[in-house]
Amino acid sequence: MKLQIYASKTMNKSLKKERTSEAVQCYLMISTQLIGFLVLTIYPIIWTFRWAWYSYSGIPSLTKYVGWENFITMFTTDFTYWKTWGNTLLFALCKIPIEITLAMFLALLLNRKIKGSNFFRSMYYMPSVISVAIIGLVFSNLFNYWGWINGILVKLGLISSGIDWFATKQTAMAVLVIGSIWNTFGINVMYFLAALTNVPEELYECAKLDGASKSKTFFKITLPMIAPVFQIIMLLSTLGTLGVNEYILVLTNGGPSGQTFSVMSYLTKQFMPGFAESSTPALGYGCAMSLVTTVIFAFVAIVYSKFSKKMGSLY
Amino acid sequence: MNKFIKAGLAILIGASFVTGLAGCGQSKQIGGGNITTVTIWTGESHSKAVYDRLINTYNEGEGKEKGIKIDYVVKEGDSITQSIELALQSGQAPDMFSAGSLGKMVENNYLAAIDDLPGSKEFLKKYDSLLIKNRNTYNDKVYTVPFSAATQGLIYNKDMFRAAGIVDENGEPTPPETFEELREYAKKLTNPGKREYGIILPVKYGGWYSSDITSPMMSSAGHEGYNPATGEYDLSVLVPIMNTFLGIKADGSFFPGADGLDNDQARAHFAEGGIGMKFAFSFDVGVLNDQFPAEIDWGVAPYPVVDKNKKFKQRMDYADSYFMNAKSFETVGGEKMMEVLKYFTGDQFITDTYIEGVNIPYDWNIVKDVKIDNPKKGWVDFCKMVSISVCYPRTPAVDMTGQIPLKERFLNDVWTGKLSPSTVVDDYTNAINKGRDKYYEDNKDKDVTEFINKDWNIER
Repeated sequence: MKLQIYASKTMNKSLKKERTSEAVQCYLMISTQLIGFLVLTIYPIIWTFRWAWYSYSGIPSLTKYVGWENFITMFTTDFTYWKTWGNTLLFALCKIPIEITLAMFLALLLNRKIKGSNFFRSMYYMPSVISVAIIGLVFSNLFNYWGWINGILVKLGLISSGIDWFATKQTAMAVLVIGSIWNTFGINVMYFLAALTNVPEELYECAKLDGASKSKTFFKITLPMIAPVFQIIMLLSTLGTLGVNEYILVLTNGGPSGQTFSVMSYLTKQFMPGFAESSTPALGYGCAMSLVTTVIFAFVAIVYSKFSKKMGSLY
Repeated sequence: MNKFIKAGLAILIGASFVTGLAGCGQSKQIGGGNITTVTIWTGESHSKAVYDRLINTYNEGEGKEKGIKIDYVVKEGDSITQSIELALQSGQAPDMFSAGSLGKMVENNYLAAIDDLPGSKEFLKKYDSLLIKNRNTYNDKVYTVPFSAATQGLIYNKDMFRAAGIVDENGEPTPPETFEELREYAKKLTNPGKREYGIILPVKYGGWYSSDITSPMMSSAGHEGYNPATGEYDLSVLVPIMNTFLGIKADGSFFPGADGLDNDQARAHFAEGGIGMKFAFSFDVGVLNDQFPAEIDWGVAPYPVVDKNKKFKQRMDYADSYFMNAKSFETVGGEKMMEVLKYFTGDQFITDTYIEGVNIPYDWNIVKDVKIDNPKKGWVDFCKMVSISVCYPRTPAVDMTGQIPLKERFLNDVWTGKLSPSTVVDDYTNAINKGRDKYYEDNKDKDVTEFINKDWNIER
């Protein structure tokens, strides 16, 4: 009996040691990510939260606590910030419906096992791996006054002389939307394809036997079956579109006359050291703006999740 | 075995942290303690080849005698200012560096003052009238001195001027002297059928507004918004300048697609031909000679002015000597720091870099008798501009939190035709003067009168 207890104790000890050792190993493995998360995400959030209540430009003697002043200014006098929100929403409203519809349409086509579907999958996905800065440059040149698009339109006789695409808000926004859709629709095609492959073939066969039309099959089977993935795609697309930043800076730089600045590109251009024109930008005010922006983003995500909850349990 | 692997992993992780943190340069004694390496970081890649050659000669000669080796590092890629800020915060900054915010660095005790170096009194004598408060000096201590300059002006296509008959009695092209002439000539030079346009306006370029609209203020008004003689902000001269550009827009005498053009594209178009005029900086000489070699005959002229009978000196910017790391007082020593500072700010180095076509001297007298064989086109003209230019003094602080900057108001309201220049300029002048008053009311320890200079007169 004693021997048994001794053996059990020794085993427990050895097991405990092994477990501790494994735990240490695991913690070590994730330590780099954890440190990165703490240093590059949590610390900047705390830093931003702190300085939002200060008039702060990096110079200690000019730093002072201003309480709610930065927030009051933002809500009462700084209308440019809110205009950039308007631009961002307009951009999202123009882009997301077209992008999602196009991605789903192409995914449905590619799901049919047509010849060369793998080639098209790769082709659609390719723009997603290109840097947005490069895409900005490409579209900037394509839609240049002397660029390829104007050249084609003039040759086709659709216009008599070139269009200055970046001279009005409407045309500049159109270029931004076209370029952005080209950049991101491919990744959504992939998501939709993944969702479509999980729809059981039997459901379609049953529908066919029952004589359901193609549109009825789509709305009654396909769409409800892929709804949970659709919900995620919409959320990612919305947040990605609202957070558009460097793409705008490269393609229009906010022009014409700052009318295409998205909220994030405006914050970068005004307050990000290295991007802002001033060597000592008003960082405190920028922090307050960033906080409000984050809260709005979070609000959008929460509202969306709440209203789209049903999509996750349609089937 | 398992233990060995774990121990190895731990050592590897530890080592990677240590080496990762210790990647940056520091001054060090080499060659048995006789030679001290002084590390310099800069973002100036265009002049690297010339600097490397000159510094190499120094290291092999004078430097060796004085026990100094200069290690000149061009930081490419990321913003040099951010690289230096990070290095200063982590204690890894070089001994000298070319960028950063003076006030921020002084107040964080990162910088060594020139006044604290041996022989500083004599060294600083010649810079007495050139030092600018809060730019070279901070809290009554000197941190940098002027070293080179960047001038601005109007570049114009001589071939197009000749073809349009805008020439003097000798057939030499005559660039516009006034803004009125600028608009008139732009109109004359425009011929869309031949794809020729009077002027190119790179509106997408972030610096367009300052280079074309605000920079010419100084030679027209004798100040650049803040008038040191009165202590008031007065932006009224912007009205005729803005009206000129609106006129050019209305005439359609500018290169189409301005809102989508950045400066590089504009410079490339100018070099290619078919563009009559463009506002430019002295560093555009390198661009038009090397990056986009101009296929046209082009010239350099001073900025046009509002009234040709009332011309003032025009704007130029100094590049200042390197900031010095406070820590290097101990590692390098004050004497050697001073030697390096003297080398870079000395007349010999300034002359050498002028001849090589990389630096414009801050004082034209240093090089006025120097002849250059085959200088780059436009180089000497931009350099000569120093004699009719002045570096604008620092202006009083203003509290404009929440106010839309004038540049944005111009682009949003004036350039789009929503409001007249005078409405926007008057409103902004009022706002900026109020912003100045608010700042000094909130900061009673600061003195606004120190920015007033009743003798300020830069008429030429």
